[in-house]
Amino acid sequence: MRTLNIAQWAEEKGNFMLEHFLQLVPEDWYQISTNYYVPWRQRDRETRINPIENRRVREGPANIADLRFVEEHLEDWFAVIGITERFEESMMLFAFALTGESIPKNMVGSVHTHNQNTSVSGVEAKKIERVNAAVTLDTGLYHAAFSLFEKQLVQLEKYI
Amino acid sequence: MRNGSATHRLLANWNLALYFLSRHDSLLGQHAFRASLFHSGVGYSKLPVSSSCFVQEPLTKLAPLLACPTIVKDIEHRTSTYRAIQDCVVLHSRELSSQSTQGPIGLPNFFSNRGRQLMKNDSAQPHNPNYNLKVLSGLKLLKTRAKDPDDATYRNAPTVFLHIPKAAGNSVKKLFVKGFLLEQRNSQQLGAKIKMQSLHIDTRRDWDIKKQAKHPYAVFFGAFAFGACASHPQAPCAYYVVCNPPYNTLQRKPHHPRSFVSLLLESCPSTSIAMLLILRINVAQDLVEQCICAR
Repeated sequence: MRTLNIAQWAEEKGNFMLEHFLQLVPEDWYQISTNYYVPWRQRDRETRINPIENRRVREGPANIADLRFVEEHLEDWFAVIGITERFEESMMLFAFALTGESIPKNMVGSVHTHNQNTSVSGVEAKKIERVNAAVTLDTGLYHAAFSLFEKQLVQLEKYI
Repeated sequence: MRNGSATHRLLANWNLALYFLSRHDSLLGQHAFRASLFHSGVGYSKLPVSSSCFVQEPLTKLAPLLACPTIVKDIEHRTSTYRAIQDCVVLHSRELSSQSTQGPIGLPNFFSNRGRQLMKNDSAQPHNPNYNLKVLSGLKLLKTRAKDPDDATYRNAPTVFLHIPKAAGNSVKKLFVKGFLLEQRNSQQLGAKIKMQSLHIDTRRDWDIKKQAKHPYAVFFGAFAFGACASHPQAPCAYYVVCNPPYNTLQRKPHHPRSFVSLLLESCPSTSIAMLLILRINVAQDLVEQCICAR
């Protein structure tokens, strides 16, 4: 089985976070080679592709227009946005907005979020450049999400 | 143009149409097509998936026929090619559908909404120079948000967790979606047990298609969950998501096998693919996919 280094992997995945924010259409559920719907588990494991990849094959990858559209509507579409690196605060935001209650701190601390080692040391500068180029739109989306996240925290502090 | 509700509707549709078309640069210059594509959206979603024929540069009227095997078959049964062309409907894009124009139907950001309500109550809304521009451009007019929902609306609305892979989604599910949120919702609705639904590929498709068999699920989650509320009887829903810096996401699983998609795209790079024949040859543990494109 061939494997990829991080730059190749980034180029392969592209801006896949952004692609999760684009609505799927009925065509995306089908596999390319059949005219009828085949349940996911009955498809060939080696060749089956998920609806997001299916759309990418059909329409091409997400582009700057998608990013602008999502950025513009992020605040209208999402009741709450969390950030992985600020997991505890994210959980507090979710709990307050969706239940009106505060989540116990010991409960949040009990969950282990995987792989905190996100250092870029040891990765060649060229590879980092390639990674950044491959995920430019995702980075833009992340910045927009982070900015909204901080705005949410400012509001939360007024109530807790 | 007069600033009225009809103008707003027109501009909202214009904005949406431009968004769809901006994903296909070559279509932006075709004014008549731009308008007709958008207005043909309703009938478009009814087309069978099997009608997919991709032609990038149809130089002659025959090009679409040659690209599409089902139409070529029709020619054999007709007296003239011209007749076959008349019966051929050429679609320039398969993107527009009634579902995608509807929007995800989500509640606006809880905290921003609260801020807005406070400003309204204080009668001290600051003048925002971009506000009128946004309203006129239609960006705020899409059917994606309820009008100033109160806190209770968020606490009773169906919730949809968009699970971005490798962004602590499983932790959120374990702790919040199936934990705290479910407990709280169950305690709020005495007697009625809250139902939840994972939206993977099959379940998400079923959810969209089998509208007559809708269950009143209150908690949804999954990587394909975005937009699921469009077919929820109790819409709007509260969508929420956890985002991860892209580099961190990649670091979490740096060695992956090549996916079938990238191999497919390398071998058949354009959308002019008329037919794909995929041969898979397993050679000494190394999966080699070869794609042969026939035009």
